Amino acid sequence: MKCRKFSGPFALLALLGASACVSTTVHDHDYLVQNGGWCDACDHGWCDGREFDRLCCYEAWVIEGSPCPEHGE
Amino acid sequence: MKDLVACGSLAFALVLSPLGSTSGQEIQGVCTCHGVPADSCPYVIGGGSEPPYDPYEEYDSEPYAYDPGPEARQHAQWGKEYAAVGRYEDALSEYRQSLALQPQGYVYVDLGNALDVLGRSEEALECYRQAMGFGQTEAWYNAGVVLDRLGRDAEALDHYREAIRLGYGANAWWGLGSSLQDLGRLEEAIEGLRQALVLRPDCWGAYRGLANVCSDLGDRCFESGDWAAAETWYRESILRDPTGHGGFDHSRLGLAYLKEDDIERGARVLARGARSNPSNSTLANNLGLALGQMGEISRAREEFARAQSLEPENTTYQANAAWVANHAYFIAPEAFQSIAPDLLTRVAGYAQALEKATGKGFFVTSGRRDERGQAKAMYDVMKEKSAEELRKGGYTNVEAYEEVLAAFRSGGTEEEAVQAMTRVLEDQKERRGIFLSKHMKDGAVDIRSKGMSPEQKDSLVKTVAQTEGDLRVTRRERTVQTKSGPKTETTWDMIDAEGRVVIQIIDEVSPPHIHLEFQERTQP
Repeated sequence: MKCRKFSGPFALLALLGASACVSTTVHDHDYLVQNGGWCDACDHGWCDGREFDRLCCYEAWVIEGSPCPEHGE
Repeated sequence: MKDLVACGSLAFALVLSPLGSTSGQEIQGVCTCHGVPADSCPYVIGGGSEPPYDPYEEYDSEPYAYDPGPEARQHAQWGKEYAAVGRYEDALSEYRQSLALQPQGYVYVDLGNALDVLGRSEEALECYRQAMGFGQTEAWYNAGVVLDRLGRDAEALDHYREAIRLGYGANAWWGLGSSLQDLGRLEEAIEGLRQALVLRPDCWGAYRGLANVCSDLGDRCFESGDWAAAETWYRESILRDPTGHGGFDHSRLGLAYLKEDDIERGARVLARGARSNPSNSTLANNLGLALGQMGEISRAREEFARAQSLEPENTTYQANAAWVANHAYFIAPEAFQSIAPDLLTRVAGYAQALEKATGKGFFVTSGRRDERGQAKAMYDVMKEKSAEELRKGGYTNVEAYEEVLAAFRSGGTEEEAVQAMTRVLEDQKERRGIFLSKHMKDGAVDIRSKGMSPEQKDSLVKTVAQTEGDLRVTRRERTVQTKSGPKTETTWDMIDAEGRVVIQIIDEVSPPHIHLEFQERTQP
């Protein structure tokens, strides 16, 4: 199980990040595939029919609609 | 504020399939939260407490848990069957006959559910109260759902808490989190929703609820002007629900970037939001604002026209569309107030000529500053500087600068320091005729330079010279020390037929902007 790490003054954000780190046993991602979203449990995200295995690439796509500056995906 | 509705508090239609349901099962529902189907919206049919969650469990081929022997149970059973096919009035009749023969808690729950579907919420709540008297734990939960939907959040919260205390599971935590969110207790809401996900990792309603809370936290920071924190929360919200909230988070995130002068990024975020939400007029308008500030006037025109077509009666969109229809530049409100109308007319002429030549306009960021405006601008810069940087200053009139610096160092609050600095600047100007900054004279105009290529800057210079009647232009450069090392600052002098410099254009580097100085106004 991987948990997202947060730095800076956002204690609440850290709390929030921990919330999705619940289990690796749930891999029924139908909802996420259909509606978009990121699964902290298995480090995968979906949006617009695309699948992402890096948070930075997913983030670049859903927030700015552009390729990841680091990986170009 | 946006109209965010947490899933736990939504109107929904029951979907029962197959006919009836296993007693005590949570029933799949369809909620309208952000227009997406819910995973397992609320209700519990009476007759047992919440079972352990098993997402793969199938309906029992014999779903009826009731022994049809006694007459009361038979009526209760018929009531359930009527409810299952949407004949709720008939269901009410059966449930009431059952209760008249033999009051039972689970029948009160089912009667409450049917009444609620028919919109008779108060009667439903009374039924749930009766059921509570029989020890029906799900009655607390169902009452919480109804109260939540009625906006009676504090009461809903109490009912969810009691349901949790009695051992009810993930949905009660989800409901609890939603109620806390509605009450503005966002930090606690996170805890509640988190607990729902711990109990049921695919409780997507709670997952979306967390996105909602992030969005609300973003709003809270946005309203208080804490743009950086707002950005963080809106990003978190979008990550969890990328197509949710109808583009609201993209719109606000984009605006927060604009507030922080990260206009290109703001434009990308807004364009992304607009692509997913083409009918959102706010996104179109805000994208127009971003593009206008980038000098992309023709694209700004398209977006404002789109915003206006989506919401023709909106006076803001009308005003924005009208402005870009007649102007090739954008201007910050403070600049608009401080630049003399005749000077603004000349600037407008430059912008039109520049757009004709290059297809792009520009963004006027500031004009003349009064003493207080100058003091505030200096305070904002000074507070970021080291003691050594402050000592260096950078102003031509060192003595005048040091007087302002002393006022800056005089202590007290920001407001007290700005007031002291203002008094010094007023004294310098009124008693000694000293203008510490070029911006204190009527004749200074700043243009945003970020994103401008050297060719565009040259085009701007050429355009100004031609528009003013073919002034002769000379160019000079000097090296300026900045935080990131030495940089070249270019100055163009525009000289009239009599050899006088009438306009100076300076490509300043710290902070980067293009400074236009109309010498006939700034030089006595």
